Amino acid sequence: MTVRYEFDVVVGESQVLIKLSEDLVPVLRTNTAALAASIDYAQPKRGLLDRRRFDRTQRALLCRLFPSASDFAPLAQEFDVRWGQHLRTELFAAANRVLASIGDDGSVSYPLDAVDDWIRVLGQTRMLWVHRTITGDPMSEDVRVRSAGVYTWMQQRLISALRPELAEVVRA
Amino acid sequence: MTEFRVVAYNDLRSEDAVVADVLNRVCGLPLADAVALTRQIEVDGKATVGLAATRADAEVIAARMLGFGLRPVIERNRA
Repeated sequence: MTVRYEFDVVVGESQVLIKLSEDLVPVLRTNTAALAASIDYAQPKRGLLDRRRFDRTQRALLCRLFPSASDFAPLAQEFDVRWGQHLRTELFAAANRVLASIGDDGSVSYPLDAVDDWIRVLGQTRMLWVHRTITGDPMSEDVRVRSAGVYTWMQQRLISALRPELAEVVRA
Repeated sequence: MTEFRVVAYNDLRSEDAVVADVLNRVCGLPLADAVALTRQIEVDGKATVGLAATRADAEVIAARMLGFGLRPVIERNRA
């Protein structure tokens, strides 16, 4: 797999250092902000048509991000009542922390004990473009599939750096 | 007595290492079990990754998995 971007990860004792190529910085910023905006119920909405369009888009995205936890609709609804807002709030906060950590030069220094933020945001941002069953491919000519594939690739790079032993056993 | 089980479905094309990492570190499964279940999810399309005595406990497992983009479904164990 060849990706034109750079996403290099160094794991320290208490910090994770990530170096992004400069052309990846605006991509990550834009898409992470889009993810945060999409799950932010409080964001200002304009006209009725815009609101309806946004609500429909938001509902579809939320279904991809957090699919039903039960095949029995009443139980799924109860789960959403108990956990839905918590899950959305957590992802929203993680997206904003990731966004704030991206330096203009592509350097990121992130606490190791909070690096789950990055793992989650990289994985979930893919849902902006594709259904859960569609495999991302960074070499695809379809921009949506390609975008998702780049995020899969970054998440894989991060996990491989954090847990090289795991990447090996899974591949074996 | 485990009344509920949490089944992970392979509807998200996450990297296997990500799935194994979440099952191991976030859901608390031993590494060998996490890797074996990750393979089962890939081959069979699903695997039972958690057993719980109460629905509340099963929901905790499911919520952790959802937070990382996996797809868990809570099911009641049949007698």
